[in-house]
Amino acid sequence: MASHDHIASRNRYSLEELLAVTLARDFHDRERGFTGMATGGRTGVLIVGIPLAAMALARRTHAPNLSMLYTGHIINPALEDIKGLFESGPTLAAVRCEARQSSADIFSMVERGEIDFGFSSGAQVDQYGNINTTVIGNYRRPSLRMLGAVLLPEHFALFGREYILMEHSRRRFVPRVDFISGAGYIDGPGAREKAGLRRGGPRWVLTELGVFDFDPATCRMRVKSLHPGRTLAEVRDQTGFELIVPPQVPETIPPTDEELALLRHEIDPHGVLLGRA
Amino acid sequence: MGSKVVSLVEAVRPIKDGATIAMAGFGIGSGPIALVHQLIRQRTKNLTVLGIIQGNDVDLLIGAGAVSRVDASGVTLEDFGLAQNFRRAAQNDEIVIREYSEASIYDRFLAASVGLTFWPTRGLFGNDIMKVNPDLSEVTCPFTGERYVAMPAASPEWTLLHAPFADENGNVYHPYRTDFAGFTEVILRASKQVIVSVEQIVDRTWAMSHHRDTLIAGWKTVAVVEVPFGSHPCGLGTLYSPDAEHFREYAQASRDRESFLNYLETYVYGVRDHWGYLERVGGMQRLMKLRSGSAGA
Repeated sequence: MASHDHIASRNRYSLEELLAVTLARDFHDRERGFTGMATGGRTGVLIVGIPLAAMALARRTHAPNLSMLYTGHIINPALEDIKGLFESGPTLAAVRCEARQSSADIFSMVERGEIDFGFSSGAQVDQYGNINTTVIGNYRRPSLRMLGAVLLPEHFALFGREYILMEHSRRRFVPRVDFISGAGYIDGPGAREKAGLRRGGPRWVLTELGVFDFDPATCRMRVKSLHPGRTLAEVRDQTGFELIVPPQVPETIPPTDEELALLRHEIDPHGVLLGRA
Repeated sequence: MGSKVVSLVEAVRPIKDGATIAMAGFGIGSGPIALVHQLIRQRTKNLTVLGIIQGNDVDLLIGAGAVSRVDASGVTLEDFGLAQNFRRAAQNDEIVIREYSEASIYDRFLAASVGLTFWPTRGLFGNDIMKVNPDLSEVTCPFTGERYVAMPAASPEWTLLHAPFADENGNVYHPYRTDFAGFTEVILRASKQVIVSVEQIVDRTWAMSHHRDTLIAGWKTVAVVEVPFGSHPCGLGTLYSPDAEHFREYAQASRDRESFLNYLETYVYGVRDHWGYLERVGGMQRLMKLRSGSAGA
């Protein structure tokens, strides 16, 4: 994904910074946000790096008591200790933080509904916000077997809400996912309730082109805002289904100088989280 | 109690074709790889492997043709990409996969750990896991009328564990454990028997002064074997790091069946034992570098 180089020099910012501030503004004080562990380079930036930066930004602005759960175990980490986004060994154990909790504690919070929001990505997302990390093609004889659902079912069933961060392409934005690894609105209004789901579900999908939410009446994906310089034609060209487009589509609000200063100088000075390293 | 210390060959010999096993570890962290290699050398077949999120441990066994079924929420090489043997076996319909979510399969071990036969969850509703996994059944709470999905308890006949230390009675000590040890603990409690390999077998004097580091008491341990760097190429807690260079070689080699069989020939069948493996992957001088840096107590 290209940086937004066309933005005037005084307020030049990257896509990752734009997504981080957009997310941060949607978090509330005292909420608990969860990031898992990612597989693969870009996915790590999308569902671990940007979310951590966003939560840290919210903590430094309007949500000082928001809690970050990094890998679920690490509560309010010293972000400057994070050397990479895919670590699972000794370096992760060395990250300083306010407190650590066990796997049993994490699953307790997850299953009791004590996590407010999480972040995910996948090989496919569809018009109802279902997400797929399991197979491409027919389940019995897939053309590609991927890692599996991991914690995504819980993200979409038991968390308060979910933010999906994806690269925007026709291959990824499909009418119907080949496998529901995380349940969005399934196949339309009432489907979550009918399936036995009592809360949660996808709130937004964020990409390099814009921010997308879900129309309450139809549960279908809707254009919420376009990033500065992006067009509806571009979005339509990269989306494999028909999006709901409101009469007026606003621009995603760019970062302020203050937000950029916090991100660059305090929250992510080494560029590990926002992909500048 | 007689000593449980045995050789690597003896340790895994009781695992027969068709057995149900689990491997302690999470993703590509802390896998019992020396034990897995020996299981491959003894050509065990038709294993059912139970796991939460597994890595090269399961992928190795699948690539060696040792597995007929996997119950897990994910198999991945993490930063080294998809688990290619798992991917290929699934695409060719060569193994049965029972899909779960991470919390739900954790709960299956939790059920077995407290002697129950099933566990209810809400986490799978609306998910296609409900469509493809025939072991799930919807139930109603007799007290509140709430809907749940019932899952069978998961109790491995054998769990393979690699840890830093054990005594000859099979008590296991892990001063270097990380947050992910919680996954290992629930699997161990759910297991009927545990086969333990360790970096070092310790004596009673050491044990008496390190009891606070107990990972699990030795009740279920049936074998203890000493194999330094027995998790390699996985890291082991904070004691040593994963061998990134070897993982890249593994990921590359497992891209097709032919080159993976060459990998097995080089690193598993073609070495005389674990010592031969350690020499083949670069020897102690190179391995000790995995213990430097941020590793250590």
